[in-house]
Amino acid sequence: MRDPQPTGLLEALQASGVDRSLTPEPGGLRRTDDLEEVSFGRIVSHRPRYAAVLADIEDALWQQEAVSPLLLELCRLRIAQLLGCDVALVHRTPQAVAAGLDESLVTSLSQWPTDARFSGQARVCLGYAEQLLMDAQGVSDEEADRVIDAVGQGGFLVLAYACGWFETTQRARLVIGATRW
Amino acid sequence: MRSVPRTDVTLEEVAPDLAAAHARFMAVAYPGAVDLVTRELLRILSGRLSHCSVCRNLRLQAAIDRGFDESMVNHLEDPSNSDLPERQQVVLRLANAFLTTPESFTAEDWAELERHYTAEQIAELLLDLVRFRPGSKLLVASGREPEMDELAYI
Repeated sequence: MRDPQPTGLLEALQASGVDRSLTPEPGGLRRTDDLEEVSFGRIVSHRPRYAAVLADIEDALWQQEAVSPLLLELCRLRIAQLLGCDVALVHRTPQAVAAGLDESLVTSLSQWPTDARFSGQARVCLGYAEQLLMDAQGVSDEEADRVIDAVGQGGFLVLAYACGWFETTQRARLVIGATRW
Repeated sequence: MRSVPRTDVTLEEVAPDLAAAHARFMAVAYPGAVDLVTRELLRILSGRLSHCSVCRNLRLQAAIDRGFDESMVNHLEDPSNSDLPERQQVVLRLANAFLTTPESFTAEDWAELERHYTAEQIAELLLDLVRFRPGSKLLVASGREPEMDELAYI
């Protein structure tokens, strides 16, 4: 069964930042002869109805109010550092930029455990993000309590989902050899 | 495995739009362009590598009806040494690479994937891999796994 092309798909993808400029193309998915064309959005656009929900999730993730876009962006970028996802590292989420993302913090992100410019809240969240990336089963009761103290129960849940989302969307870029976000 | 909830609230309550979008993501995933048995293998492998008891133990009756056999699960992490069809082996290699070391899925692997699957099918496989793990992380971290670590059929 093939998905119909829903009205407004391209607008939705553009709004989400998932992909920006394309319609499905036949064959030659990764276009290794033309690396400028390798993007996750282009590849998944071949299953348009399924791919369109990516935009919904991105929108909802950055518009929820349990975790600030600044904390989310630091977690997203830290996961990108650990996975080695360069296209994620150079990308900036518009909502985080609009909220005043401090690029000097981004530059120092790998030093978050010892750099005093990172708030206690940010450190707790970054530690949680790293643990989730390694193994969610390894989140201890003590760590869960620290996260809940820092961002509330809602923030604890949103971060768990968000970090999994950042991980898989970055892994997707890595596995296809994406050359742009 | 933890089956004592760590929160009194759910994602649906604290971020309803996000929870609804995730629910839509699951709703539009099926039916799809790839055979259900192959997608079931992909889902179970993701659950195993994500250490999520729900995902690794859940079995779709619809996949069983279409030929899924429990013995297939023994070969998920090492499909090359199995008698699974080549078209399932390459999907499992994709999933293993995706969830461990994505860069290890080579250009030759991609070429093989494209020999067996259409662009629409490859899109679906990648979207499945993006979809599974966030829900698994949420379930595990929030302490909402079931008490019994056993197969469940739906």
